[in-house]
Amino acid sequence: MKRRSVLLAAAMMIAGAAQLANAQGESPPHAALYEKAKREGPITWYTSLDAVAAGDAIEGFNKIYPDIEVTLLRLTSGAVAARYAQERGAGTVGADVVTIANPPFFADAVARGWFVTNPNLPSLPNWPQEFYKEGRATVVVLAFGIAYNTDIVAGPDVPRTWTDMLKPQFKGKILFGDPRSIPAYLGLYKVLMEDVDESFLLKLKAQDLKVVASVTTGIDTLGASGAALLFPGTTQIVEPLKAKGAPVEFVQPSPTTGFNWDTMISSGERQNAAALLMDFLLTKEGQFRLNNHHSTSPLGGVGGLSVPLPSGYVTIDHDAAHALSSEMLEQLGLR
Amino acid sequence: MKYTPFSLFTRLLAVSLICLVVGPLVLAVVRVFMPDGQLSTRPFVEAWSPGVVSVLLNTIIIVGASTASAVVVGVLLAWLIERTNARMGWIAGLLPVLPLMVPSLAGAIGWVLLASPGPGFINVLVRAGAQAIGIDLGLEGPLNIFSWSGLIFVYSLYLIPPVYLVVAAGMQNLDPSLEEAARSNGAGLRRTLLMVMLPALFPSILGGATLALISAFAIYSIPVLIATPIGIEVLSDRIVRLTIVEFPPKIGAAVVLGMVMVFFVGGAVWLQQRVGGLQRHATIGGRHTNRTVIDLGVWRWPARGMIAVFIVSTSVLPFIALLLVSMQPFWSANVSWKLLSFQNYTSLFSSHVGVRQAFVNTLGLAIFGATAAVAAGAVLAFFIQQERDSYLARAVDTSLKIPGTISHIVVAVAIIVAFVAPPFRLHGTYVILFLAYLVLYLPQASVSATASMAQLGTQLPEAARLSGAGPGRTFGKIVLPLVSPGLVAGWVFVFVLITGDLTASAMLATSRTPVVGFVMLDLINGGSFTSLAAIGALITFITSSVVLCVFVWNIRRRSGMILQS
Repeated sequence: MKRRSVLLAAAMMIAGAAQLANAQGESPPHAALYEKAKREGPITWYTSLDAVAAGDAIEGFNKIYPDIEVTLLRLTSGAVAARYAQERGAGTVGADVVTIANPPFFADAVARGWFVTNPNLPSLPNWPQEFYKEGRATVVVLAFGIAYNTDIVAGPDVPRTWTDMLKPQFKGKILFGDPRSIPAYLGLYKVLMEDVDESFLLKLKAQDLKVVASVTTGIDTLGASGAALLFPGTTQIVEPLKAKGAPVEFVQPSPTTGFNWDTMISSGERQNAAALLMDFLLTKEGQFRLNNHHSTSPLGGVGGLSVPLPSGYVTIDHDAAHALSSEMLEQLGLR
Repeated sequence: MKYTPFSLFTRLLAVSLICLVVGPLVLAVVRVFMPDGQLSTRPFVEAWSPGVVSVLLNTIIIVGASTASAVVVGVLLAWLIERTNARMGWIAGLLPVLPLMVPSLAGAIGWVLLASPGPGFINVLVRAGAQAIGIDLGLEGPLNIFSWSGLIFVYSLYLIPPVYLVVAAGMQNLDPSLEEAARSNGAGLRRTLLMVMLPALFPSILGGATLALISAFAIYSIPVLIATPIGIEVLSDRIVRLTIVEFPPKIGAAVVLGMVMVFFVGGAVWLQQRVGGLQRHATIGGRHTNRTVIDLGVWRWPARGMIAVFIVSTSVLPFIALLLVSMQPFWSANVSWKLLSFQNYTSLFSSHVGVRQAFVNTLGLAIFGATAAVAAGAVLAFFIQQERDSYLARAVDTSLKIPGTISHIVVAVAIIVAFVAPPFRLHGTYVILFLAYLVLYLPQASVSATASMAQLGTQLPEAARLSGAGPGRTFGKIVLPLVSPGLVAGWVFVFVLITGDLTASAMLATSRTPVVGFVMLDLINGGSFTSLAAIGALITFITSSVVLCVFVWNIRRRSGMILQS
């Protein structure tokens, strides 16, 4: 009996030691890159992503790479672009990773040599190539639609198409996201002009729009019955408020386009750490954390609260939209 | 000429501040208008973009109307509280500065929550009350904060404090014998007020109006919340847009538009300097005086009613709205008391990175910044008064007011140009924030100190000099005690301005050096009204506590009053 107990104890000790050795032997993915990254110090991530999603991603990143501190700065896409450009003009690199929905900025910035066009990303071979181009990867997609207040809009008044917003009962009751703050909206307006009605923007302007700098704040006004519609709306701003009991709902007309949040690494001193963060965002875990807040992953179904890409979704031709921007802003009365 | 240590220190301070204020601006202008060593007209072309004329007109209308309103109300309130029996004990001295307790951004949010046409709390209550007596007012109104009148109203609320503070300080030190003499000779209340007191107070009124004008041009928080939704664009909004929203940034165009502000405010500052130099107004006499209090008779109660309306509308209501919405799960005019909680506060500190650090940083910078600004303003105001004709005095007087004539965002850009690049490399440091706040809010401290010095006059300092006192002793023993009410008021004003600063904070703060304005801009652009209300309520609580403490202290220092029947 005593001999059996000793043997059992020895077996347990051996098993425990083996497990401990195994644990100590486990290393994070891309260990060599991680070692280089650790020596570079903390990194800064500028983004216009939803703050909770970005924070979630950092939390997931630090579970795998605990020795790399990530500082987050969240502003609108336009503000991030302007801030980054000013810092570059002053000779500093404020952000090591940038994730915003502003492709014209990235195109201009790449031409200036501000970003890395061939980063060392181990996960890149598994990334859909239609969402990657010369160092720029789309990590989050968010389709545009219409948000409405269910206490004010009900029954046959509920908009189903874009042109439903032009109905007289909505005059003076539409909150309108400012495209001068969010250039991505111009992509949607181009789609509306070309695929719905070439005079759509003029008719929309005649609805006496209430411009808001951010639809993320505007949704609160909608929920408080301060307006009937919010445009462009997204599931990401509607669903959390709806979950709290606010009288808001979302509809997805077709055709549509949306935000494509692109990520790039700054050409600076902390490229390895920055590459590690960007690489994490391209993994299934990173994609789940980013898109588990009612947005769409380029990888497809990542589970949780992520949503599929709607039918009729069109990828924005930003160069063409940018070329038409003056005309569109003029039609909307925002020049 | 022999200089005392105080004189040397004053001159060194003057030169240092001139370099700090003018240097970055000169550097920014040179780099913008002469990028390659040759004059470039590109900034002017970029500034003259579609809509710029309407932006200028909008700005002139709003600034002019709100400043005029603020002067009328501010002078009236100062007179009612400092000179009549409408005063309500110690509360009366605090009331007119209550708007200071609510920073302009928090106040603007509060008024959006109160007077939005549909869900605004005041509108909901008025409509419910009307409905109860059978009057149907529809689904919106009667108030609409998103209108010209709403915009001018909120602007005015935040311009009244600088007018009141400067005029009230002037009244406190005004020799009442002038009024007594007028009334003894049969002049009535109205005639005494219009023909004796107001002319005597003209430098203070002009100082207050100038301060209000400077503030009005620089305000960004109110137009971004209230003007933008109704398509009204003002200069400050356009400059911010050109600098931190549009890509690529149009710094040159922003500087050009900032120079337009310089033109208008410079004229007001010039006028103030001219009037202050005439000395054809009453000053503090050489003997101690007791303030007289005018008995308004039956008009006392309407006057008190006016003060009460001011209290409620400028401070109490916005704070209640902020508090209420901050405790709701989402903004709703239908308040469900069971659902109220502090969840938004805990979420604010847990989900928004750096909020706690932002508050600590802001308070520290506000205390040090206000103290440095007022101390420098007082020393230099004394220097300017004593050596008015010297080139250095005139140069520093002009330099100190320059930042107030330019949008804060342009000043912040200039500071980036000067201090971020080598050899300073101050980007992302607390030093650059401190320097920015000092430069931005020196005008307010300076005007407050200058108005106090103007009211003091030159007789007492001259008497001290003739008695053998040096400038340092004269300043410390004679001048400082007499102008301290105005300086305390200036300190409070600058403290609140730094605490509620938005544009400079957004430009210069980083995620490693966060401040409250930086966090609030983030919330305006990507947060919810409930989070915005929570941070607004918090910052209001802090600034209110500071203002309350300082004014209780100030009230206890004041002399007794004689009731004149």
